[in-house]
Amino acid sequence: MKLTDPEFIRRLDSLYLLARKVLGGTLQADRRSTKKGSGVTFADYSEYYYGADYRAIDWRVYARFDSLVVKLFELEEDATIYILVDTSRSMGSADPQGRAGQKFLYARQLAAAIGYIGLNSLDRVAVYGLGDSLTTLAGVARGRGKVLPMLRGLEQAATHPGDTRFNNCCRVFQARHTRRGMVVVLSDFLFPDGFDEGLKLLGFHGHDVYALQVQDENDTRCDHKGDALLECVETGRQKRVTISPKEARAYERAVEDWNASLRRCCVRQRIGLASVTPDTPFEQVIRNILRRGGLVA
Amino acid sequence: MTFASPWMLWSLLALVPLAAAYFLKVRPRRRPTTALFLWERILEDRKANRLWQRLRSIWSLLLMAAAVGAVGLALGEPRWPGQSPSDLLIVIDNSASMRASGEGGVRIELAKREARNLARALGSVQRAAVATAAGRVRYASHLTENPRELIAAIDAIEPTYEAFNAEVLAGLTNSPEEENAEGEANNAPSLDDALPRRIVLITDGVLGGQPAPEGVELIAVGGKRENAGIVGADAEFSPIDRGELTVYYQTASTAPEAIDVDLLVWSVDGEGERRLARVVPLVIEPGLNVAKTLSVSDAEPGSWQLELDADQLADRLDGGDALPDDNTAWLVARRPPPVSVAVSSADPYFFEQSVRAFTGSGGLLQLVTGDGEVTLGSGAVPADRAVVFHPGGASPWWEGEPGGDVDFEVGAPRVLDAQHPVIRRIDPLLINYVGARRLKAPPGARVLVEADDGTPLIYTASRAGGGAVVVNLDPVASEFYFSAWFPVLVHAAAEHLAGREEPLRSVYRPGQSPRLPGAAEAFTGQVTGPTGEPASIETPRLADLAELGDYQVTGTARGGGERNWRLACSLLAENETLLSPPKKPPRPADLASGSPPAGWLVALAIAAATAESILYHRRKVG
Repeated sequence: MKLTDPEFIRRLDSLYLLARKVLGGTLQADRRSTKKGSGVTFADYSEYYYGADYRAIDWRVYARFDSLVVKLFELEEDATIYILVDTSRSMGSADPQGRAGQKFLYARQLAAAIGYIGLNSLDRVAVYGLGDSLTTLAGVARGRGKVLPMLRGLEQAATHPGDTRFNNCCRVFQARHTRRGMVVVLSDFLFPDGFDEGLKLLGFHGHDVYALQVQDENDTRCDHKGDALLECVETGRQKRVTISPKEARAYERAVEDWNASLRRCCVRQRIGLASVTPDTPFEQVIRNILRRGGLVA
Repeated sequence: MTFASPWMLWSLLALVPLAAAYFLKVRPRRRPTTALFLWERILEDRKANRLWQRLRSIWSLLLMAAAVGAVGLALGEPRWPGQSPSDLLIVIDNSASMRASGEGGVRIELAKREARNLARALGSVQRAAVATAAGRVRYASHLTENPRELIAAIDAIEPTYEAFNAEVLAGLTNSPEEENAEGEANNAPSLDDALPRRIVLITDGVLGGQPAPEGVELIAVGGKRENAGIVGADAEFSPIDRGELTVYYQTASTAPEAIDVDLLVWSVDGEGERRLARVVPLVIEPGLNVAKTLSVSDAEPGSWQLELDADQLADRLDGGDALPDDNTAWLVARRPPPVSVAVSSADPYFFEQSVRAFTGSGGLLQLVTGDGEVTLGSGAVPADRAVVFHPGGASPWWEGEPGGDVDFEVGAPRVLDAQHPVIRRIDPLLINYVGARRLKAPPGARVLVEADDGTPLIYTASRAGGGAVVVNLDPVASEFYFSAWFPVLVHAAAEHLAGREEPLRSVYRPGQSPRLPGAAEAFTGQVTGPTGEPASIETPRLADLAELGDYQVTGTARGGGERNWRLACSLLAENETLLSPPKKPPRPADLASGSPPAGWLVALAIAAATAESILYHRRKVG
């Protein structure tokens, strides 16, 4: 299915309506932020500090407890949503049914949905491709009018050969965008160099990071046995091996351990994580995310 | 190594396409993966196996090449070096001593194992036959190239109780023509004259004390074992005291020192119940002992057993008694009543005197008045069983009137059956046949001596319920009354008519086939052996006695009616008991044993194919 197809856009539209209903916000900057500041929705108390806006002092508390506290309100801002989509060859590999590119299409559909909701909520949205370097799929844009260019950018995205250098891409991304925002990473997270450093870097610079891990059965299971010439879909490197049930089990354990390490990393960095397979309809994934109140860590 | 079918070695050319196909076959299938780095981490631990991984393909090729090569060589039917293409006759000694147990098991089983190895080594490229040898040679298989047929024949071989008779081996080395001239060898498989033949006897070394005949190669089985047993026995009632049974016995031992053991003398009643009659302490010296006798008073005729105490033997002999079958001798003590003889003659004196001559110590004949078992006389003797001298008048024992009263002069008498029981103890040609009459023997009569003109002089005749011995001479005119042959002839004729001319022995050895005395020529009966299984017989001569113990025969007696005979069969073989300590002969040269080269090659091919299938399985399905 093409991402610019009207049918697909109608599906995105229904997702946006759902998002509005769930999030209950207004049109502008209605995305709830975790940052505290001047707004209308009470968030928390804070001790009075020198220079604080004394209009925010809660005098009732002072009358009662004889201590100065200031009321904090949720900051309502027009956030920037950065969507990083893995465009390495590993996303374009065939699934167990032999359909090539299903993972990549799925990741782009998820990215389109998030981007669509973001643009319709008047947030700033930018879409980048992750590979051996960071590529721009759709530049920073805002407003409903930018939906189609964004979708077109995602539609025209292609997978590239070479190892996914996620950490390097994160450094490049941070160098380009100092403005904090929400970063959604869509990938299978099977990076030879690992993901810790990149995720840590994004969190360190104040981004709200969310990870959407897309893996199919070909990533997690090894069904073929016997002599095989294993070929890396990203680099084309080959390795001649004999896969016995023992080796197959070891591979599956290694993938489980790898995914478990991703989960631990996300928990440590307070990064929201959702692991999905292309078999799950992407609308259902978005709905689940929305119903949980967003991508929460 | 030579090959029986060398042209089959061309099949080794299959190695070329095999190698080509193999190199194409071992190229693995390409498998794209999204996480090669994870595979590398897993396989990093297995670096030690990398050499094996690299060599595995070549190993597979080598294994398949070995399998194909082995099959090709097997098709060529190789022979071990020096293995000649001669026909082979495998003779297994199945005499009684082969029942002895020893190191490695029972000797017959050791011999069969050796024979199986020889049969397997033939490998369908050499012909062989299997035979057994004990009291005689018995062929167990035809000449065949099929090892399985030979092995089946070997498996079916059982030990006998017969003593080994080395003379039977001489027949094996004869040419086929000579063999066919000998009765038993008629069943012998015809060996190929064009090929040399070898005869291999697998034995424990018991050859009846004789060396193996030339041309027979020996393979010895079994080890030295201690054994003691009875090698000779007989029982007979005393001619003086008819209640005293004299028992003769002889023992032998392979023990290096003398052993003391009790000899138990058992009397066995008609129901098979044993009653201990005597216990005789013996000291059995090493080797063959001197024969001894013992007496049992108030003994009754019937079955008797001599038995060496098995428990004592087990204690005294190192390693126990190797052959228990020779510890017991079964005997039948016979005390037949004298033949009652009546005299029917106008001048009975000399006839009575001839009977009295055998009434004394032996108790063989008894003179009676009135009806006797046999009637002795001259002229026309009116009796069912008669010994008739100087025939005259009408009688069923000759046809018509014998020549009136006119005697004729006998020229040169001819003896037609010198071994007949009636005349075998006399010389009929020394008898003066004066007073002989021209007569004609009845149909079915057996003429033993006849005149030159064919007139029967001495003959036997029989009819339903009786028989006669006719002596065609005048005993007065020929002065035969004064001849020593007269009482002898009377006695022989009386015993013949009473059916006692060839009495049963007290004991027979296995393999012997006794003839039942007094049995009808048209005999039907039943024999019950030691196993208790009755078997029908159609002739008065029993088949070879095969089991040790007592035999009971019931059948038609001569002259009608039914009669019982009792026999005993015992091992009683010195050479079997002494187990001839094997002085192992050297193994025959160039005699292959065990699986043939083709068998080993096929096994190698199977092993290689199995190993390759494991590697293939691992390559294909891990």
